[in-house]
Order: sequence, then C-alpha cells, then structure tokens
Amino acid sequence: MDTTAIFKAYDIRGTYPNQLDERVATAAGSAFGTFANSPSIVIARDMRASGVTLSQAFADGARAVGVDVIDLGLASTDFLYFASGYLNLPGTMFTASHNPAKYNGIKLCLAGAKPVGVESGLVEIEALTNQFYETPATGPLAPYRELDLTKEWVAHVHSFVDITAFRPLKIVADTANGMGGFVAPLVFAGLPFDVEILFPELDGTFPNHPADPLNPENIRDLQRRVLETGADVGLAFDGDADRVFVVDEKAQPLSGSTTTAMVAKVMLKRHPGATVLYNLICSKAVPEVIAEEGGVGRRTRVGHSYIKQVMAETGAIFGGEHSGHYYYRDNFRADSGIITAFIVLELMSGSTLALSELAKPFIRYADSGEINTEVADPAATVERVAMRLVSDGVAVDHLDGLTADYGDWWFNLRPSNTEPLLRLNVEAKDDEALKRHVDEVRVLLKEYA
Amino acid sequence: MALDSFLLDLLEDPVDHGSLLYVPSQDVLYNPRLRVAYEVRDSIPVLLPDESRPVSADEERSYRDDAQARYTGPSE
Repeated sequence: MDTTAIFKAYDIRGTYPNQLDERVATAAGSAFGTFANSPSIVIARDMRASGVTLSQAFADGARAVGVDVIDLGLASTDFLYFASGYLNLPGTMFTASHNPAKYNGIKLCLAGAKPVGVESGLVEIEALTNQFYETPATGPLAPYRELDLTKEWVAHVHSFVDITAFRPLKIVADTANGMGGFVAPLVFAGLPFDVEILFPELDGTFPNHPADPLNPENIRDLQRRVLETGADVGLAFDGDADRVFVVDEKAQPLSGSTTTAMVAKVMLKRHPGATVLYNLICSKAVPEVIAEEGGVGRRTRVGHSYIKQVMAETGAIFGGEHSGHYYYRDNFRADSGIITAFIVLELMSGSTLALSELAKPFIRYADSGEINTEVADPAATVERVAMRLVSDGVAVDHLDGLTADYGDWWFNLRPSNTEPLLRLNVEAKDDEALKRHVDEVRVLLKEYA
Repeated sequence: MALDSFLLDLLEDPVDHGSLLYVPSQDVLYNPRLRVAYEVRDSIPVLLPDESRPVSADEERSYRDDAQARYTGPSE
C-alpha cells in the first residue's frame, strides 16, 4: 500500500475507495489506537456516504488493539474537537472538508483536542498504518458505544456569548449540503433569530454547489438570497462546518481579517489586556485594532498547528487566520466557525447599525487576496527576491516565507510545500495603490524566478 | 471458575482505567495498551499495579487467539 499519497501534513486524505478504503481505515484505526496512549478514543464523521463504513472500519481497528471507541455519529469537525476536549480523549473525524464527493479523509487529535500533524505523530501513525495493513490486529474487540453530546456542545457554543442579549435578526445560512445543515438547527434552536437555511439536506455529493465558501462562485446563492429576503446577515459554511464566512446585509463578504479584528475587539472587552494571535497574512488593521483595544497582538506563521502551539505558549485568548479559521483558548484552543458566527451575531445585537456599518471601522486597507504564481523553484525565487530587497534597504522578515514591509504597503511571499507555486499576498492603503504594488511585485518575481 | 459477566462489565485497568482482555483459560486479565497482565486467583481478579507482569509477544498472541477471550466493559 502507498500511504505517502494519502498522509498529508495535517490529515489523511484520499479518494474512496481506490486510495482510502475500509482496509486502510482499519489499519489506521489500529495505528492511532496504538499511538494515542489512551484507553478510549472518540470518533465522528461528516455526511459523506463512505464515512459510515470507513468510520466503522477505523473503530474496529482501534478496538482490535484494545481501545474502547465512543462514536458521536454525525458531527462537524469543531464538534469533534469539542468532544475531544470535553471528554479529554483522542479524537478522529472522518471528513474531506470541502473536497469533492469522491474524497474522504481522517483528521486526528490527541486528548484535549491537541493537534496531530507531521511534526506531532502523523509520521509514526503512517508507519504503524503500513504495519497493520500488512499484519492486521486480530482477536476480540474492545467495547464500542454511541454517545450523544449535542446538548453539551450547544451549551458550550452558547457560553461564548450572552444569548439573552440577542435581538431578532434575519439570518440566511448556506450550509451547502454539508454538516452545517446538521449543526445550524441545533445551535440556533430557541434563539430569537429568523433563520433560513439554504441546502440543509446532508448530501456528500454536493448537488447544489461545492462546500467551499472561499471560492466566490460558491457564495453567489447566499448573496442573492440575502438581498432577496433583506436579511441582516448571511453565513456560508464549508463541508465539515468548521469554517463559517460572513456576508453583510449588502451581500458583501467580510474578509477573514475583518472578522478577526471584530472578534478580537469583543474578546478584549471580555478579557482586558489579553494576548490575541493573528497570522502574518492578516491585514494590518488586525494588530491596530488589538492595540487600540488594549490587547497584546502576536503575529504567527500560517497554519493551525502553529497557532495552537503559540496559543499554548502565550495563553492567548483568541487567534484568527485570514483564511477563515478562528481559534479560542476556551474551545480547547481549537478553531470554530460557529462560535465566531455567534460572536458576530452578539456584536450585531448590541448595535442598531447594519453589519456593513459595524464592519467599516475594521476595513482600513485594500488587500489582493492570495495570488498563486507558478515558478520552477519557489524557495530559490523567494531567496533571490529577499536578497534584492535587503540590498535595497527594505525591511524584510522570514517568519513564514518572506514579508517585505514598506510602511504604507507590504507583501508576503510563501512557497507552497507541495506544488511549484508561490503564494503572494499584498496589502496597500487603497485599491489604486494596491494595483500598482501588485504589478511591482509581479515584475520582481519575473526577474528572479 | 470463570468470572461472571456482571463483574466483567465493571472491571477496568487500575492504571489507565481502560478495558482489559479477559482470558478465562489462562486466568488473566490483559491490558494490550500497556502490555501487562493481572492474575485471576481463585476467581479473584488481582488488579494491583505492583502485581502486574509484562507480557511477551507469544503470550499476547495466545490471549488474542483464545476463542473464549473477551474485553471487560459493557458488552454489546
């Protein structure tokens, strides 16, 4: 078996059944059960049809090495992380997030929702998976039971806000046939909102549109419906509902940076002087807001394992990534889209202003979004660009790829780990300046590629 | 005499508090995670960490292959 194709940096992912089938899942279950150093694990799955047999095969694999399995059944990824924290048990989520129907995958965490990645166990788990694939564990199976934690999870989500302060708001939620269709009705039940859910049926073939709200095409239905119904806010969930994107009453999407800055302000009101993390792709508006609100801002690399690690080291209360991942200390340092949505709804409830007006003070610059450029040798290109900038006297840093700060604009250039690609993000004071600076960086790239 | 199933539903490892594989023919309760075995003496499970013993690969195989073996904890 070739596990190198399916073991990624932070999860296991492949097409079902040719790359990831029940035999691989059983082997992975025995591997994780052996590695996790715990008498029990908790598992869950998203709505993909293959998740039923794959998660059962994984459970059998873990049980065969003497590990009890607690099965949550259907859940969002942030729900599974909650269960791992709440029960203090290692967790396993069967999901391929926003990937097409033919994919499935496995996200793993240790007790307390601690991340598992290539630097924290995934390499060992891959080696064990290969062993158990060749020589499966045999013998009796340790106990298995189903557990319903929805009440506990909903109470946990609500604990991040004052639900008595909510005012009646009209919400459209596009759950894209993903797990949002399962969790949104649970968390909104009993609250004074008028909620309309688009595509609530759980269907892993994604018959309406892909469950990837990062692609502007996939939020068109939501934008149209927000305008048609005069809704106050629109929410777009991804396939496993761990990411939620917000659109305002004018159907304009709020960027991850804007949402990070808004949530940072709320969190700092509640926890004065606390540390807040933001990754280096975030707008400069984010550290500005953190400082204005009396918080301590800390810039981090991109990626959830870095954020969680820095969160553990600094005790930060909250962390945001421009890509739409929001991490909370009191959520076992895991990210949650639905908690973020609730904080935005609380902010809206405390004001008579429309969301577009509320968001305005947090939108201070123009950003390019991530621009991918194909180059033969990404790392070498970054190195050559860096040398040129240093000789020009430009302030650069290497926290993640290369960041060049010119004072009134900046850019970051990161090589992709898996493809011959450079990822470029530029931010400037307005659209006109942005366009000029993007062109400047493109010229630099052409020269040094 | 074998331990009764009511008792088996309740027994857990005294160290990691997980399920144990009960092998009646050999009078042992085995923890496959920590690879230690506890003796069952005169129908009394001796679940004392100090009295546990490490288990060899051959012994482990014999436990797993025993048709009568079952895990403690709630049975399905």
